[in-house]
Amino acid sequence: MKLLVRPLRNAFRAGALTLALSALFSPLALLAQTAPAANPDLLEVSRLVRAGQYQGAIDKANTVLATKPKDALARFLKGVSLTELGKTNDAIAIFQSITEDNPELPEPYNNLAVLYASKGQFEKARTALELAIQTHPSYSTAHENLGDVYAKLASQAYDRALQLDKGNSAVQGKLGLIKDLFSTQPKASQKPDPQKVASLATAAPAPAVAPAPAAISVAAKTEPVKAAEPTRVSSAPPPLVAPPLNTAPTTGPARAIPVTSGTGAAVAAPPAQAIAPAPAPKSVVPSAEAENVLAAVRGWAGAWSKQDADAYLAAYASAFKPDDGKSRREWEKERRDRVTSPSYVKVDVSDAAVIVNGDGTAEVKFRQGYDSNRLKNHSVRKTLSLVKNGSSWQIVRERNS
Amino acid sequence: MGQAGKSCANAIANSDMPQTEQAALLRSRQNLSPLAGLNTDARRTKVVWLGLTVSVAILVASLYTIVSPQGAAPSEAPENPARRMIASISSMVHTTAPSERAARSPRTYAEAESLLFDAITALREGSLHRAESTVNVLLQKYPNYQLAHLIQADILRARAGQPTHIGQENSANPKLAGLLTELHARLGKYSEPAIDGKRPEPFVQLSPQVRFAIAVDVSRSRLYVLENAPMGPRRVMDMYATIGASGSGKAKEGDKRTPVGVYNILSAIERDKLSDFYGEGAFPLDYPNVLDRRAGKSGFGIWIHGVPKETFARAPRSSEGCIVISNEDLKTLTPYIQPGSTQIAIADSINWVPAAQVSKEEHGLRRAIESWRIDWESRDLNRYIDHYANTFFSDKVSSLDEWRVVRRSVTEQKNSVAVNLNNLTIAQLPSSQDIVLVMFDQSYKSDTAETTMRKRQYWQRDGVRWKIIYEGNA
Repeated sequence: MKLLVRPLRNAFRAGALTLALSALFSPLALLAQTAPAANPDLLEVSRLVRAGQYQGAIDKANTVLATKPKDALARFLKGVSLTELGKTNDAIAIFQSITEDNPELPEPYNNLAVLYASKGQFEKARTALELAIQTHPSYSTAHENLGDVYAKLASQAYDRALQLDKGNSAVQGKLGLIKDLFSTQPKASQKPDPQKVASLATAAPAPAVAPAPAAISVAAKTEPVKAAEPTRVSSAPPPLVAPPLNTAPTTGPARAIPVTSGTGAAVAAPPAQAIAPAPAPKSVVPSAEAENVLAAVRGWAGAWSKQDADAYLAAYASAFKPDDGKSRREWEKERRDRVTSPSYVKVDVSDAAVIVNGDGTAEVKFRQGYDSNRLKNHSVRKTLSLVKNGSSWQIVRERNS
Repeated sequence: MGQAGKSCANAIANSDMPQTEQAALLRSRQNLSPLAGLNTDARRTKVVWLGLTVSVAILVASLYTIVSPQGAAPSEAPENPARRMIASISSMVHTTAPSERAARSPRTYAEAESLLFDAITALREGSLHRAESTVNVLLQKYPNYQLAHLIQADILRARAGQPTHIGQENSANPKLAGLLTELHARLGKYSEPAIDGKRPEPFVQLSPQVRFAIAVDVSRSRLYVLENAPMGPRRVMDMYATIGASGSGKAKEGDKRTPVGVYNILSAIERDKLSDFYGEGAFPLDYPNVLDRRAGKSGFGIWIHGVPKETFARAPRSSEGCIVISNEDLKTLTPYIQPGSTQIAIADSINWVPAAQVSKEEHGLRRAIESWRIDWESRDLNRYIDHYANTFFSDKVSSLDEWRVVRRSVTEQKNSVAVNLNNLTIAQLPSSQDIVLVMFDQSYKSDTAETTMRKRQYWQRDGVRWKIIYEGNA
C-alpha cells in the first residue's frame, strides 16, 4: 500500500523541518515552541533518527522527556523511532498522546494513520487523517493518504458487497510499511539548509560497504513538495539516501515485524537485487542516479497520463525495440493512438525497485497502475530497461512480467 | 421440496460475510464533513477535490438517471468543488420534480430499504456525508446487505477520486452486475406510479372472507401486499422480489421462469423444516394449476421463499422460478398469508386502476354469472349448457359433450333447484385479458339434496359473451 511510504517520510520531514527551521519561522506548530535549536539534546535525537540509530534516538529522547515529559518534538521523534523499530503499538501510544496534548498538530495524526493502516485498521486511519485535515485543510500528505485509505476502505466494502474474502488486509499494510524502510527520500528541490547539512554531514554515515548494484525501492507517488505551507515545505531535508541501504542491518528488527517477515516480495526484493551479480560498482552515491532513473520513469508515466504522445514517445531511446517485433513506426503509431484515444488515462508507478548498473544502464521493476475510461488494470508488473543518454535516462526495453 | 427448489439451492455459492468495522466509523464521523476546508488554495487539495467532485458527479448523475429516466445527467463536471455540484444536483431534482415529494425518499415499510432510499436521496442531494452515515447505520443493522456495501464502496471511491461502480454498465462480474440491477430495480420506487386509491387490475373483487392478497409486478421486481378494503383491494405494503433467472412466463420444467397467472398459496413451510437456502420460510404455489396443465405447462416447486443467512437479497432475476424475498420481508409477509386461500397474481406488469372503476367487461361478466345461476335454477338444460364453452373441461369430464351427458342425468331428476352464490372472488388472469378466475361459495338446494361448497370457475370472453371453460372445487 502506497500510503505507507509517504507518511513515514513525512514523519522525518516534519521532524527535521521543525528542528531545522523553527528558530527562523516558528509561527505554526507547537512543535516549534520546543525551540530545538536551543536544545542540543533534541538536535542529537534528530541526528540519531536521521542516522537510523533509532534505539539511540529513543534513549536520548527519554533523557529529554525525563525533564520535559510533555515535549512534543521529543515525543514525536521517539514515535518515529519506535515506528522504524516496528514497535507499532508503542508508537501509536506516543503519537496518540501527542494528539491529545496538541490536537492542532496534523503530523501526529498523519503518522497515527500510517500506523493504524499498517495494522489494517483503516477506519481508525481514516479518522486520524480526517482530523489531520480538519486541523490543516491544506495538508496535502494527509489528503493523499486519506485518498488511499478511502480507496482501501472502498475495496473492503466492495469485497463485502461481492462477498469476497480477500484475507487479512493487515498483512498488506504491514508489507507496505516494511517496504518503506528501503525507501529513499524525495528529491529536495531547494537549497539545502546549511544548518541541516552540517548536522547531516555527521549524521549520514558514509557507505561502509558500497552495495552494487544499488538497489532501492521507491515510493512512486513521491510528489514534489509544494508550496502551500512554505515553512513546512521549503525545509524538506536533502535526500536521505544512504541510511536505508547502509543501515539495513540495523533495520533488521523492523523487518521482522510479525506476520510479514519472509512472506512478502517486498521484504525479499531489495536484498535479492543487491545480491545480483555486480558489475564494477559505481563509486559515486548510486542512489542519486537511481533517483534520476526513477524520475525518468515518472516522467514517462506522467506524459502518458497527460496523454501527451510526443512527450511519451520521447521517453523511449532511439535504440528502443518493441518487444512484439513491430517496426518502430508501426509501434509509434499504435502507441500514439492508445495514449491519446481514451477520454482519460491515469498511469501510476508504485513499488518501484531500481537497479543502476555501472555501465550506464538501469532497470526499473514496478507495478503499473492503469486507469482509463476503457480499462483498469492495477496488476501489471513492468520492467523498463533504461540507458543513460547524456544526462537523461531513456527507455530501451519494456516488458511486462 | 420440488425439484425446481432443489436446483435453486445451487444458484448461490455460500460464502462468509466478513465482519464489518462500522462501530468505529460511526463513533468518529460526526462533523467531519468532507466539505470542510473547501476554501483552501492549496493546489494539491484542489486537485483532490476536483477528482472527488468528478467522481461524485458521476455517481450522482448515474443515480439521477436511474431514478428519473427523463432527467438529464449533468453534461460536464463543475469546475469548482462539491458545493457547486450539490447546488446543481439539487436544482435538477427540483426542476424535473416540481413537487417536493419527489425529492424525498419513497415510502417503504421495510427499515432496511427505507435507509437505503435515504442514503440514495442524500446522494442525489449531493451529501456524501449524510449518505455515508445513513449507509453505516443500515450496515450496522443489516451487515449482510451487499447492495449497501456496494454503495458504501462507491461513496468511498468517490471520496478517493476513483470512478464508481454505479453508473458503469455491463459489468463482467456477475455478482456486481446483480447488485447493480438490484439497485436499478429498487430505485424504481422513485418513479412508482400513483397507487393510492387504486387496485391492481387482476383483482377485480375479493371475497369478504379474504383479508389479503398478493400481487407481483415482474417489471418492477416488486411484491405487493393487498388488503381487501371496502372500496376494493388496495396496497398496504410492497417489497423487492426476485424472480426467475430467465424472467416470467413459465412453460416448462427447468426453464428458470416464474409463472404468470393467478395462483393459490397452498401451504406454509416453516423455517426449521427447510435448509438455510430458503431462509425464514416458504409458501408453495399451486403452479401448475388446472389451466396450466391443460395448456401443457410443466414444472413444479414454485414457492415464495426467503434467502440464506449470509444473503440479504438476491439479484432481480436469479431464481429457478421461485419468488424470493429477503428474510426480513418474509417475516413481515407471513402474517398476511392464509395458506389454502390467499391468492397471488403474478404479472409482467401490474396495471393499477381506480378502485371504484367498473369496466364494461366486468359488468358483462357479472351479468353472465348471474344468468348462469338463474338458468341453472330453471332446470332448462340447454340454457344452462349454453353458458359453457366448447372447450370446457372439469376434473371429471374432458369435453362439453361429456358435461352435457352428466348434467342431463342430474337435472332430469330434480323438481326444484335453488342456487346461491356468496363470497365472490373475481380475478382477471394477467396472462390473458379474456380469462377470469371466479370463485364463490355455492349453496345448492334441491328436492333431493342440499350442499355447500367453494367452487372455482374460469370464464372466457368471446366477443361479448362470457362462457365457462373450467369448473371445479376450489
